[in-house]
Parts: sequence; structure tokens; C-alpha cells
Amino acid sequence: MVVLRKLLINLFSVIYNLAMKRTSLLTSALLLLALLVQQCSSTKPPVVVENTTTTYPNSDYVIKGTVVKKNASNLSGMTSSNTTAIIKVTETIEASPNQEGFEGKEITMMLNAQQMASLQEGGDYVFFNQTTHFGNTLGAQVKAVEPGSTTTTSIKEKIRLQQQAEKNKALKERLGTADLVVTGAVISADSVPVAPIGETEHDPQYVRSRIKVKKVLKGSADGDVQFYFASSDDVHWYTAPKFYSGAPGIFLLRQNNDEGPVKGRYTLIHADDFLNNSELKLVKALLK
Amino acid sequence: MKTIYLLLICLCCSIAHAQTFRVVNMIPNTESNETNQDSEPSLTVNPNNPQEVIGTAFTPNPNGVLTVAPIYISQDGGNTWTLNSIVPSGNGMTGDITVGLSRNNTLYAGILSGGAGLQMQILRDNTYTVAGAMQVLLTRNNEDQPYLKTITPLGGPLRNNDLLYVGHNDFNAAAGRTASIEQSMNAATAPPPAGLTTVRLEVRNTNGQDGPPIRSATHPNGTVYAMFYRRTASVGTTRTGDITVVRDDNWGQGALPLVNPYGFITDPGDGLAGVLVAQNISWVWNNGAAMGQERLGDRCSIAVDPRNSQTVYIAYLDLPAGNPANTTTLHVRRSTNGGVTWSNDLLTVNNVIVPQLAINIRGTVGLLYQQLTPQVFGQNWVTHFRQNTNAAATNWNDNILSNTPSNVPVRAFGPYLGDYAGLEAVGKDFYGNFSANNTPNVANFPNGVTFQRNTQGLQLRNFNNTANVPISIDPFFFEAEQIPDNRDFYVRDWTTNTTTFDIGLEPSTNPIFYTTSDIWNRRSNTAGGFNGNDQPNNENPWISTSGSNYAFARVHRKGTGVSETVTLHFLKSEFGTGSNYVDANTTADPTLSFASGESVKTMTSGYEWELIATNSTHVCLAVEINTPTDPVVTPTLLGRAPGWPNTDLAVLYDNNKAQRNLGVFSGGGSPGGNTGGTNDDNTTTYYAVVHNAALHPRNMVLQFQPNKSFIKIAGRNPQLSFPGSKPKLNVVDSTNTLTLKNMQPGENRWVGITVPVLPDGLKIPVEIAFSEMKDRMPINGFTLRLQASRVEQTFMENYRLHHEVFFRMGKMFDSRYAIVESKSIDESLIQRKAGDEWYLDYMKAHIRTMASLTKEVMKQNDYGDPFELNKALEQLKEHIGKTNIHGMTIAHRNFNHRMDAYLTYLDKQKGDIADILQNVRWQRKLYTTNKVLTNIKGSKSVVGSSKTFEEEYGKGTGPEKYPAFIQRIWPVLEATVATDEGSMAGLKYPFEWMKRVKDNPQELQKAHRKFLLKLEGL
Repeated sequence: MVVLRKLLINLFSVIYNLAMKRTSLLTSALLLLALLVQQCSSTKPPVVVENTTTTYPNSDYVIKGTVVKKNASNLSGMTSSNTTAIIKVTETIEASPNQEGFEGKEITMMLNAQQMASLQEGGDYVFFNQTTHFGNTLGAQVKAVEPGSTTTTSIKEKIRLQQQAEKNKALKERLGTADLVVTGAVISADSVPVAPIGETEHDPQYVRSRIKVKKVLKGSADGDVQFYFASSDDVHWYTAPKFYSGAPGIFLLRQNNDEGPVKGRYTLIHADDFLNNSELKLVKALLK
Repeated sequence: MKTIYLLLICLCCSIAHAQTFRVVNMIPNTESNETNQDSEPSLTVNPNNPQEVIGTAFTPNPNGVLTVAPIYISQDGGNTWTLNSIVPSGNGMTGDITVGLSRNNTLYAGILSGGAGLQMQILRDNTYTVAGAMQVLLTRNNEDQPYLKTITPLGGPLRNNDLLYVGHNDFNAAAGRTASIEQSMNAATAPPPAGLTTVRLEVRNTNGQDGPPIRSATHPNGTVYAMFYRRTASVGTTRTGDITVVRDDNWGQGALPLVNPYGFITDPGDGLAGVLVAQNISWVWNNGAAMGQERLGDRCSIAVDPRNSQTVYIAYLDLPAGNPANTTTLHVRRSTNGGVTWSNDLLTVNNVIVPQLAINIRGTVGLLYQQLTPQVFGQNWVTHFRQNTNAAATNWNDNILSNTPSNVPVRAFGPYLGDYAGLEAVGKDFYGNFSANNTPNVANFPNGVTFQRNTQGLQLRNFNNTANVPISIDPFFFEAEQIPDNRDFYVRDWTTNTTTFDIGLEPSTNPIFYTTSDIWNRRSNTAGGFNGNDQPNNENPWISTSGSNYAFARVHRKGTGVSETVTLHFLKSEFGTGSNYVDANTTADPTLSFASGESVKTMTSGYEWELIATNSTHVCLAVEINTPTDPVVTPTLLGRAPGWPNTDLAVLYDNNKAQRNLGVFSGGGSPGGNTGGTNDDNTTTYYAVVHNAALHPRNMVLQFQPNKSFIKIAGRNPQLSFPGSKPKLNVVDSTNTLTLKNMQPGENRWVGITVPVLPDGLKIPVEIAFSEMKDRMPINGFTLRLQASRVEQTFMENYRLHHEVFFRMGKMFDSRYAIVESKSIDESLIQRKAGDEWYLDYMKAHIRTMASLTKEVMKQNDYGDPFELNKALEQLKEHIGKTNIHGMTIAHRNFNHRMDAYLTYLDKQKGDIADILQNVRWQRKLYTTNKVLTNIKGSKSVVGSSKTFEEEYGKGTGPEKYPAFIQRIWPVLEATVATDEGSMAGLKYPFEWMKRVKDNPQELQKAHRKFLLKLEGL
């Protein structure tokens, strides 16, 4: 999903660059297509889970595995010690795309003394981990260990619910810190970037835009709202959302506090601050 | 022997550039699925261990966590890499990032925080190989392109501190003077902000700001350079301004109130700090896909020669008038006078990005850049690594590291490949990294490449090797290796214990590189083994009447290569610092044969050498090792002292050289406790010779470090004395620094170190190390070590030194009575370890003879009593009279050491053949630079003849050829004397003296030196 999103954003960047050069009608057509794709990509499950008790520690990599050797390491550059163990992955329960595909392979885990004591070589366990090293194999810090007899289906479901809760919590925090939350559509975007604080490759190249507000969800706004977004494709800004006339959605706007040309103005520079209208129900619930 | 030795050197000079390349794709195997645009790489190498390399690039955290971003770590010299996400971030990536590893094994980073725009952070971590975010030392907004360098001085007041220099373009600066450096003089342990302070480099008006890159280069002697683009105009995509170079000679601290930081050079045009090297140039500023999908802007690099802080190179890009829009031209220029004046372009190349400079310890300049080059199909980005092949740096070789399409993949963001890349000189080698299209086609990498990520044919494959992966931009590491590790031989400069020791690093990482080195002396032809700390068991040499000496060395090589033979050449000099080396012997150099797979060999039979009777037994030893592929780097130590005439390739910089400047003496007493006399009675004074090996008068600075035992016995402030020189010329300050003022070229000055008798049972030897500093860099030194001794040992040492000093006196002054006195103690007596009763009777019987011989020598030489021998004799007499054996033993030792130093002092008054080469170099300098002398007819012949003599010295030409050499230049010397200036300067007297002693090399050296001293005053 992350990869897909990045690809889409890259596509947006290319289209935007073309658009900024006012090339052709074809560009406009591509823009429309891109907007449609972006809406699709922003679709999120309308599940509201709040106040879920955290069951598992914060982990990005959950696997079932067999202890091959305690006090050992197969990760290049990490010396064997009484805090390392080699684990053979037997099942991946939760992983980012870069952590997938390790079934049948051996990785190195770092454990505390208590965790290490609970393991037996040859034994099967469920490991909740934070992956720390990507080298010839993975290196992961163990956050919790459970017996291997635990059914993975139930773990997966718990993790799914937990992740959803965490995602919603994060959104709630974003909504809480936003100064203005509105629904509506972009009605204009200036072609001339705002003068930067200084000339730098990392200039966000702020572009002024306006939203025709349909509904104010947080804060107050009269009529159209003016805001700024980062049009730059610099490494700092290429993932920041780019806006074009007609883009509908939910806008989380923030007053910019940094010294510079947009200080005190509304900005939208984080991808998570622009949501698809399909998230409206969730947003409303979280704003309550 | 000499011929073979030199042939080896010549052969090796010719293969100096026969280097090998290693190019490694840095993406780890577990990241085989990745398709990121991993651009703008940087790199740092652990100065303690070149196997540990840290790299960076615009690489997202693979596990998707957004709070930290990864660095690349290699523990095997760049062959394999692991990502460890430890850089604080807001989006799982870094913005701009550069890193530096210090000699204190601490990693520093200067970043623009990922996801936070222009927020600069400076970070620190001493556990960078494990998980956990780096510590934030500083956070500031409105900043651009932090570019970090770190250095840990080996000497001076900031010794062992981690110094940080982070160039940054600070939009918070007033009046558009944005070029700045954030620096700390002690960043390793202090809590945030760890002493970081902002220094503004720009002192001129701009058109609102300077350019983003502010680059620095540090020299171990405390010289810091920085360069930046001063901007004066901005129109469209064209920027105009000046390339500015600033310099500081005190680690960036200035010399307040006289000189502001970075204010040591000024432009002749306006008199302001910083030299405008290239004025009113133009360049492109275009953040779009301007050239081969890359954005263009201000790009530059600076590097200083580690051998000479006055030699500095810069590289920068511009757009010369008439060149196509959206292109660049690289310029490389040099200054050899500390940035005051600059050469014209040494090299220009069009369509270049990411220029990076570094200079290795041989003074070879490495230049990395990427060039957009037309190819059959479209254009390619070609990565070049070039090195100068002549001293003038007008010729450059060219090695292509990668040659890949510029249009694949499509740029995801700017920069496409980077605003900069990584390059460091590590000893003789260069390490670097660059970003490029990662198609696994060996044809794209003419110097080879290895991938860790999965590949199959011309395809990248995913982690499970089940599908192809699209081409993307990856970081590539490379090493340009001058000598393969398995052929790189070295002699350890230091060994602390069995786990901590020199691993052949260049430069050495321990400032005391002359105390525990793997060269040592024995009094018999047995190596003597190593102590519990794996340090060789050294014995002080003795004079030839006592027996031969045997020099030993242990040689390591970094890897286990093929069978090879190492030749060892031994040299000796006076105990102390700065004295020029002479060959230890003229017999054939010994060799060590390494079998295939062997990585260490110790000589089993020593190199026999003798101290003639007129020599002191207090000497330094040096060894230089050679193989055809790993020669000692010229100049050799013969006729020189480490660090002089400049710091070029001293022992510190060349792992083929090692020296032992260590005097080990028994410092114990004898039964009986207190001496019963004054405090003076309880002490012994040991002497070292400090020699000015430079070609100009100077203040010599020695930093001393007493160990804990020394402080316990003698206090923190050692009792120092300076026989034979005026007290006001020798100053000791509260920072353990001894300054010997106004030392003339070739001048010797004696430093006495007075130490009380060591108490019984002292386990740790009493030690004090003196490091000779050039500017702020240790270049040489010596250590005095006293160890507790058994009574018999003390007696034995006294007997031996008594024998040696009187024998030496007899030979030096042809005194039969001194010889008789010497022979009253013979070797069999020493070995019998005659006891205290005999000792007392002996001293009673001999004290009058000792006194009369001393008196006679003083009378003959008319230099007074600088070593206070009369006082030492009086103390000795007093103890003998009181039959106080304890006091007598210490007083006798004290007398012996003083007499030995006095005899050396007298010997040096006759001249010194070790200084012949220094005289000749000095003469060449004078006839090259002094306007009076250059105007004399024939002065060029003096310069030419001197140079020839220097080059041939040691190649069959030694001290014996010196008189003939002087005869050859005699007419010009005579003409010099005849000038008005020569007459005024009183050249006639030393000239006549030279004439009188023209056939005796030693005396001629002294007269010649007097002549040169007069010339120095012209």
C-alpha cells in the first residue's frame, strides 16, 4: 500500500510539473484522471474503534518462529552475545513489505535476559518485534514473546483492530491539532510560488490555493478559505500533497508558525491532512 | 645494500598509482525489493578502524516507522552493509545528511530533519551500531545544507577532544551574510548543545544570501579552511558571485583580540577576511530536471594536504560565458601558501555534478564527480574518480566507476543523484560513495561491482528471487586502494596491551608513538620476547667495549597474502627529539620472509650495531621497512628527524616507519631509606637532547605528560633544567607545555628531568612523555621511563654507566687515566654484582680520581660546568664520607647521568655528522630564497649541487663525501664572503674556519653551520 501510494504521488508530481508548464489539454485530462486515482487511493475502511486497550506492544514485525540458537547472531556486523538469538521464521503474522518473504529464513533477534531465559532452542514462539537492522538478514528487537501454540488468526485479528485503533488515534491527534477542518473543493491554485525565506533547494515552493468550503467541521471560516501547499518536488516535499482546481475532500489546515512567507497562514503540507470524503463519518466521530 | 634499498624505493615510486578499485552496491540483500531513489550519499570512515564505514543516502526507513531514518553501516570495509534506523525524523527519511566518525568512536550527523523543512539538527551517538535514536545536540530552523566534519587532535590543548565543524547556510543571519559554521571544541561528552556555537564566515554584503554549500577542511595542526559561494546577483536561473575561502589557524577559534575566527587571510582587494578566489563568476540555479534529470546549483569542495597545511585545493562549478544554458563547468585550483594566492585552473571539466575532493597522506589529490556524457543512446551519468599524477597537479588520471543511463528511472524528487557525494582519504587510500542507476550490468561498472541485493543477469530480483524489480537509484560504495591489505606491511607504533594496539593506521592514532613501538634493542642476539602487554622487552644499548647491540623489529601485515620478503633498515639518533638519524650500521639490511598466510613475523636474529666509545648510550632507534609493492615513503629518516623539514611522511604518517625514543633506567635506590642529606641528594637528573631540525629559527614546543606514578613521586610539575642555555629562553607554563625559545637551525638544547628516588615496591614505572609539537600536532617525542629496581640492579647499572662514561671520556680526550678509571670496573665485575661493601670501598678509592678527571676535562674544554658536575661530586663525597651507601648510590647515579650528558654536550661542540644533510638543505633554502644570495653569481650552482647531494645522500654518498661537496661550491661561498653584505655579516670568520677543517666532516659541519647562521642573518 505504501509503495502504491508513493507511486501515485510520483505520478501526481509528474502531472503537476506538466501542468505548471501549461502544456496542453492532454494535461488537463491527465489531471482529472489523477484526481480520480487519488480519491481511490485515499479510501480507508470506515471502522471506528476507539479506546481499544493495547494488547500487544508497539511492533512492526510479528512472526512465528523456531529458536535455532541462543546467544548467537547471523546478522553481519552484529556480534553474538547473551542478548542475541537466531530464529527461523515459520510464519509472518504482521510485516511491512520490506519484512515479508522471510518464511524459512533465519534472522537475528535481540532479547532481554528475561525473554532469553524463556526461550528454548528448538522451541516455537510468537515474537513481537521492532525491526532495527536490514542487512544480510533482519535484526529485530523483541518486544514480547508468546508461546507458539497461540493461534495466529486471533493474533492477526487483534493486531488489525489495534492498528486501526492506532491509526484512528493518530487521526484524532491530527484533527485535534489542526486549526481548521473543512470539507469542500479546491477552486484555484496560483501558478506563481510564494517568495521563499531564502533560496534553497529545499524551498517548499508554497503555492496559494483556495477551498470552496462546503462544511466547517472544526474552527470557523466564512466563505472560501485560502491556504498554501508545497508544490516542490524536493526530497523534503515530494510527498506533500499537491492540489489542483476541483479537488474535493476533507482539509485539515494549520496555521504556519515558522518564520517565513506563510507565517500565520493556513498550510496543508502533510499527506495525512488531506482526506477523502469517504472518511467524513470517521472524522466526525473523532471530532466529537 | 644501499643500492638494493634505493632500487626498491625507485621501483615502488613507479607503481605508486597501480591501485585497485572495489565498487559495492550498498543496498543490503534484505532490501532487494526496494525501488527508492537513494540519492545524495555521504560517508565517513572510523579513524580507528577503516573496516567500519558509515554511509547515508535519501533512503526511507525500511520498516515504515516514521520517527527514525536509516544509516548504512559496514563492518567489513564496505563489502557488506546493514541499515540501522537511528536518525531522528518526521517522515522516516532524512533531509540533507552528512556524518562524521571521531577517534573517540562517536558518530556525529548534521541533518535537515526529514519532514521538517529547513530544520537543522546536529546529532551524536556512541552506540550507533545498535538500535536507538541519536542524541540531538542542537535544533534550529531556517537553516540549509548542514555539512559536518569532525577531527580529534592528537596534541595541543584540545588533545583527544572531538571537534565539530558544520558548515550551514543560516537564513537567521543578519544582512544576508548567511555562510556560517556551527562548531564545538569538545563535542564528545558535554550535554547538549555540547559547546556548539555559530561563527559567521561571510563578512561582505551579499544580494541577500550566500549559496547553500559551506564546506570545511581541517588539518591536524589546527588549520581550518572553509569555502562558500558569496552571491552578489540573481537573475532568472543565473546566479553571480565570488568563490570565497577563509582560514583559521587555531581550530576556528581565531587569535582574539587580534584575529577573528576565520580571519587569518584577507583579500587584497578590500582587506576583508576571506580571499575571493574566483570573482564575479556565474552559475546555474535550477531546481528542476535541468541536466540529466538533475537540478543544478552552487556545488563545491575543499581539501587540505595532510602533509602541509599550506597546500589546499578547491573544486567548484560555474557556467562560463558562452556555455550552453543549464550546464556546468568544474574548476580545480590550488593554493600553496595557505590560501593567500591561488593557481589558475588545474583542471576543468564540463557538465559535472557532485564534485568532491580529498587528499591522502602521500599528498595525492582524489577528485570524484559525475559527468553527463553523450552516449550512443541518449546521455549517461558517468562517475569519475581522478587523481593528480604530477606534483604540479596539472596531470590527472581518470578511472570510471559507473556509466549508466541518465533517463532511467524517472526522477521521483530532487536531487536525482545528489547535491553532493561522499569522499574521504583514509591513509593512502580513498573511500567514497555515489548514487547511480542500479542496473546490474557489469559493463556499466568498468572497475567492477558487487551487489548484495539479488540480481539475475541484467535484472534486479526481489528478496525471494521470484520476480524482477524495477531499476532505481542506489548508493554505491567504492575504495581506491593503493596497496592491497594483504601486501600492506607495517611496524606497530604503539601497543597498549594485548587487545589495544596499532593496526597499521596512517596516521597513527596514538600521539605517543615512540615508546611502545615494535622496534627495540637488545644487548645480546636474542629477541627477548614480549611482556604481558605484548610490548617488546627493550634493553638500553651499551657501548662497544661492553659488547654489540642488536636491533629487533616485529613486522605485521594487514592481511594474509602471498609469500613476500620484507627488508628492514635501522637508524639511530640522540636520545631526545629532533636529532637527525644516521644509519645504525653499514652492514647489509636484514630481511624477514613472510610465508603465504603469515601476518606477523618477529626477527629471530637481531641487526648488530655498535655504539662507538665516544657515543652516549642514550639513543633513539628507528626502522624503515620495504617490499617491492609496499615501500617506505620517501624521504627516508636518514639525515632527518621525523616531521622535518616539514610534516611530510613522518613516522606518524607512514606505517613502514617506526621509532623508539625511550630511555629506560632503574630509578630505585638501595637499602637504608633516607639519604640523610638534603632533598637534592635524593634525586637523579636524566637528560635528553632537543634539536631543531627545521631550516629556520623557531620556538620549539614540547608538551609533557607525566603518568600517575610520576605525579605521585615527583608531582604534577616536573623539575626541569636547561644546562648550557639561558633560563629565560626556556619557559614552562601551566598547560604542561615547555617552550624552548629561539632555537636556531641545528641547535641542540639539553633538558634535564630531575626525579626523586623511587620507593620500594613501586609496580607501575614512573614515566614522562615529551611530545614535540609542530603547530598543534605531535610530530616527534621521547619518553623517560624509570622502573623500580632491586639493589643489585641499581649497583650494576651504576657500575656500567661509570665504566662507560669514563671510557667515553678517555676516547674523546685521549686520556689514558680515564681509560684506566673505566677499566677499574670491567664486565666480569658488573656481572658478579659486587655488593655494597665492595662498592663503598671502591668509591672511597676512586672519588679523587673521578674528581680530578672531571676537573681536567672541564679545564680542557672551557665550557664551564653546565651540568653541575662539581655539585654532584660534592654530594657523592659527602655520602662516601658518611659511609651512607644509599645516598652514595643515588649520588653516583646522578653523577654518571650528568657526566654522560656533559660528554655528549662536548662532543656536539665539535660538530655532528648527523646534521650534514640538514646543513645542505638549509644552504639550498638560503641560496633559493635570500635575495642577496640569489644575486651572487653561481648561486644556482649551489642550489643545484646541494639538491644533488641531498638526493644522493645515503645512496652511496655519506658524510665522507661532504668535504668534496663543499669544495665544489667553494668559489660561490668565497664570492658570498666577498660581498658587502657578507663582509658586514662577518662571514669571513666561519669561512676561514671551514677552510681549516675542510677535510674533517664533523668539524666541517660545525663550521659550515656557523657560516649558514651568518647567512641566515643577511
